Amino acid sequence: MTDERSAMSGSETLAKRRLAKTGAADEPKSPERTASDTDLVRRVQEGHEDSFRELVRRYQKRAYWLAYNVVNDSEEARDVAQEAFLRVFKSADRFDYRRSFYTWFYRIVVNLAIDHLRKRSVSRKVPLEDLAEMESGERRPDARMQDTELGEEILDVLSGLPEKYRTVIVLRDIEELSCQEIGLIIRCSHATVRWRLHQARKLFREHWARMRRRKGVVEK
Amino acid sequence: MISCEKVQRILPLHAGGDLRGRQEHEIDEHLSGCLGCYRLYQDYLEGVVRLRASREPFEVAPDFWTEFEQDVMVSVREETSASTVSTHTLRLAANRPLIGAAASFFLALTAWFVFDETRSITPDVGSPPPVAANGQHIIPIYDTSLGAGLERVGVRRSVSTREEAEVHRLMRRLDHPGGPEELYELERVLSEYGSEAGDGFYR
Repeated sequence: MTDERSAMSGSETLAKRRLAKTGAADEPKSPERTASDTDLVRRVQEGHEDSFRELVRRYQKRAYWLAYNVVNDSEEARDVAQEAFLRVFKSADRFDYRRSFYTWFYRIVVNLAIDHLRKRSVSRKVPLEDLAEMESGERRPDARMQDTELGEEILDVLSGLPEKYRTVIVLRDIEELSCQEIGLIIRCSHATVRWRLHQARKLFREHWARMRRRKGVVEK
Repeated sequence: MISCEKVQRILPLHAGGDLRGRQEHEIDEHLSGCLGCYRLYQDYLEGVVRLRASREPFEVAPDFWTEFEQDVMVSVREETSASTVSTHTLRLAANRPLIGAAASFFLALTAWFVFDETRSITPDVGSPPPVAANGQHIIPIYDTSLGAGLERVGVRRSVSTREEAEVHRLMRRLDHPGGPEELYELERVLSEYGSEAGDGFYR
């Protein structure tokens, strides 16, 4: 009971923080808006579409950016995030109320993102429209509007890390989840998370320095 | 005063604020008096700061999220109507047993596939690894990145008893509050034997 309460309060805090960040907290409040994540899942199980829509609104940005930081492709990230929500809808009956919604949801997103990475590594197909985009130097309207060179470089370096390290560093240093939360998401012990994080940061630093040297940037 | 070598091994965790208590204090104390280690620490710290700044690396089109939400809701409605078709199929099963049996079998097969795709595998970390005839321990290696574990890598490999014992001891101790020694030692053991052994064993 205590675990459930702490998990729920953690999840609510996270949701509130995100709502505040996205500005959604200022919008008029419906019962769905004020409900906790677990209440919403319960209502989804009962067939309430509005509750599911609210979950999508709450987590779509995090799902998309998490997927993007793992797969480093805007179209694939969109597919991953949408598929993750569909899985939530289909598997709502199996949600464990002793856990928080977001760790469950993040786990789905991370697994789907890794699946995409593996499929991509098996056969990397470039759609015709992407080829045209590469040639013309243009991007699709829903793709990047405002790239920063730094952001590009970070993603390039992240893409060079083995996926087990990339996942952990994205969850810890970009999503700012705790090692305990990451352990729940990727289902490994706290010690293993720390070990991978340790390795991931070392590799990130090495790859970053190599990339900067290649580009002729002199680090201080 | 701990050595630079030990401090540098643990700096990646310290830079992200992932050390606590005595570990954190000892490293801070060392950094305040060692310029070389402090520069390396700054280097790691910059990496963490860069990553934290790239949370949302670019702006999306204004209607991106509305479209995203609509697309998800359309997929869900399609899913719901597919379920309704399944319900009709089940009703048909009540009226026409042969067709019904075939349809039910097909539905059960589909459900099994869906379940099998999403179910997780939690490796048994509690029991000691089995011992091979040559006296070495057989360590199951799980795919270390799967997390929810959609699959398990079916590879097993032998590692020496000494390695297994050291990694096991250090990994277990790491889960409990203690001094930085465990982590220094872990780093040394795993770099000596290769990190896969540690990952594989402890998962």
